[in-house]
Amino acid sequence: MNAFSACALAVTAAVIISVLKGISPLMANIASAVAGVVILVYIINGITPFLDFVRKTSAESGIGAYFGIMLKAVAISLCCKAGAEICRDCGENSLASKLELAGKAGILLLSLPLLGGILSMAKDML
Amino acid sequence: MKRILAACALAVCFICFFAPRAYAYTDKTTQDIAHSTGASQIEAEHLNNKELNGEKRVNLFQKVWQIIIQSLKGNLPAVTKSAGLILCMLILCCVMHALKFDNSQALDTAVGFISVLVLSATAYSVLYNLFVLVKAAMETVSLTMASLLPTMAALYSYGGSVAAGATSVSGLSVFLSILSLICTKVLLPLLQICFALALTGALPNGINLSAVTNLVKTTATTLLGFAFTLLSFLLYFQTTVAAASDNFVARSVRFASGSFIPIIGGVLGDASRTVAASVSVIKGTVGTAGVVLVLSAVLPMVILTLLYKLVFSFSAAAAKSLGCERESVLLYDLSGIISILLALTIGAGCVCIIGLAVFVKVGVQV
Repeated sequence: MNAFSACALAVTAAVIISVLKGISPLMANIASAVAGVVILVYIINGITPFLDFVRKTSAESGIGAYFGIMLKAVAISLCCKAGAEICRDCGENSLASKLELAGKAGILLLSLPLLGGILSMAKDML
Repeated sequence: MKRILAACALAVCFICFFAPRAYAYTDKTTQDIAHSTGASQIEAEHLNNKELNGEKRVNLFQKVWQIIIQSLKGNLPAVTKSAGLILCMLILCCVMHALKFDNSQALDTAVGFISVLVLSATAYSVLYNLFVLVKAAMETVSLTMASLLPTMAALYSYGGSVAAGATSVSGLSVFLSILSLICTKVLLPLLQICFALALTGALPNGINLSAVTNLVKTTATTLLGFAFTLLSFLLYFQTTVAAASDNFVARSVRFASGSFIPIIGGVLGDASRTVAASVSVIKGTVGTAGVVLVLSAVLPMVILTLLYKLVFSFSAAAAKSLGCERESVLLYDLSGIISILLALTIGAGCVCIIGLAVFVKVGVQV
């Protein structure tokens, strides 16, 4: 991933969106959403080697399962955050809040197996 | 005068070179009793048959060093692996925190929740093994202490002094076995409850049970302090095991234990002279092999707890340096619980040594 490319992409998109705002606000919102998604995908593709390295290291050290859960939580968080920002840009604040709530619920659902494991260990101890 | 000195020197040389060996069992009757009670079947990891039977001299310092090295060798790989696991989880948590969003508290809370939960799962799996091992060791110690009482009653009855069961000696033995039971059946479960509750204090915006956790911890430390203060009081008045003189070494041990052992460090420091005297009693009665056996039952438990305390203290400091505040709080809480566990194991070990010395002394007297 090249930070300068991401920067150039974001600045270009910002300029195009600001031009489109004067012509058609709807097109500007769509362009903003598309630009956001494209930049996010570009970033995710760029950090894939780092994620592979961390995944391999954590698998070797025996915490591969935990790393998977944390990675999913971060991914859910990123996606929901990006979606919420797009909704806010479009003026839909309530939708953005609901989306963040959905992200929170998704992360809590991810934690259920962990909680179950901890509770069973605590039950064995008590 | 010269002749007297020469005679003394000759006698000393004769004693040094031709002194008869003191075997464990001096006559056939004693050997038969030892064999039928199963004394000949005692297997000790750090002693061979000749050392157990008294045919070979036992070097106490060498054996104690051997016990310590063996405990470290046996436990270090597992403890190092646990430390590595916790540190890896901390680094992952640090990476997660780096990705948090300042203007989205809901998602930040959820990510923090997962981060603490994952670290807790790792810490639980590590500490679960420690609690299981310590519980097994302490149950063995308390069972040993409890089993001495009927044997002591039988000894008194055999000796014809049934009424002596009400003397301070048997009272001290009963107190020591009750104290050992309290450590195993009350304090250890309290610590387990505390450990189970410690998780909730670190969860972001979760149910705040820190007051309950502190209450349980305070109850455990108060009970521990009270029980061992009573022990200190009883040891002051008992005469069965004569405390060693208050020399420089005793004062150094008292200072060190007060600094190093939490909660009951001062009490154990005051009891250190009695513990030293108890070791002398055991050594004088059953030999150095007996001391080695007792220490081999007590020391590994203490060393293991100490190693885990070091791991968690180091991990808590590392978490704070990495900016993981909630994880640091959890690890510091767990380190505090392990400190109490360490005090408990050292206290139980001292109680075991004193109890065995009292039993041995009674056996000799009867």
